[in-house]
Amino acid sequence: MIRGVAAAAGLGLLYVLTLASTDPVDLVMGTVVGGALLLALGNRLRPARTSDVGTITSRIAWFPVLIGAILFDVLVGTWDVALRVLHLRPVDRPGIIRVPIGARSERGIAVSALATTLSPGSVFVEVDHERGDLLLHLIDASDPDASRARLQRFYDRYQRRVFP
Amino acid sequence: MTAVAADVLTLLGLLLLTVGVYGVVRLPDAYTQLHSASKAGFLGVAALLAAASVSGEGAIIARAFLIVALLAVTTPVASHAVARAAYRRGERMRTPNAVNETKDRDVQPTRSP
Repeated sequence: MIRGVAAAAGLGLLYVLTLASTDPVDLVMGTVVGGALLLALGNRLRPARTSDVGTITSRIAWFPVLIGAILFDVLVGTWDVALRVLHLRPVDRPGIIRVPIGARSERGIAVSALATTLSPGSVFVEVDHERGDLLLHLIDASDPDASRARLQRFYDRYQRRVFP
Repeated sequence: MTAVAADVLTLLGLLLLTVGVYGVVRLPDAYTQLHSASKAGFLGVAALLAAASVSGEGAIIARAFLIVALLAVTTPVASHAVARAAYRRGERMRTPNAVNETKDRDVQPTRSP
């Protein structure tokens, strides 16, 4: 119930931002339209529940930290890719590496994929469910083990508390 | 002051977009070009939208925020779709020393571009 109301309120906020309106009536209208959409689409918009997700307040509290970490990664990655494009760093060891899925849920895999792909320098390619790996293309794959450790560290520090 | 900030952000956005386009020409294969094409574009457009937001007008700020948020979600999905399509059709990496930990699929690097 709480999840449904929060989702409808989120869609209402989206509606208000699209209209660029501060009128509370628009917020209510957006929430009602969002709620109707959620009811009409049933469970298709709701991801599967996961175990060990922590409390909702803890997840909300850590969400800005996760966003900040992703934005920092985007800035660092953009700088690195720009230097490589401008011939100031070599592009001699790009490649596709395997990263273990580990404890990630389906939603966790999706968020990991979004976060790594948004940051220049890494692109999510495929999920190998048989071997339990994510396949990522890195513009610098010269040390795959170090890259795997870095991605795991990011997951453990920032993502696991919000999207396990 | 706000005009200067807007100009700086506009220049930054244009610079990032230009580097992104140049990267598509300079980088050797579809996988590496994706790093430049899509993601530099995201930050470039975000900088341009930030420049538009400097005006302080609520409607512009709200829409700029919304566009950046939607770009942040859709840009990686588009990159992933292209990368997966390239991978599944066996598009080869064109850097001679490219790393390939997916031995089950023929995306081995080739010597000639």
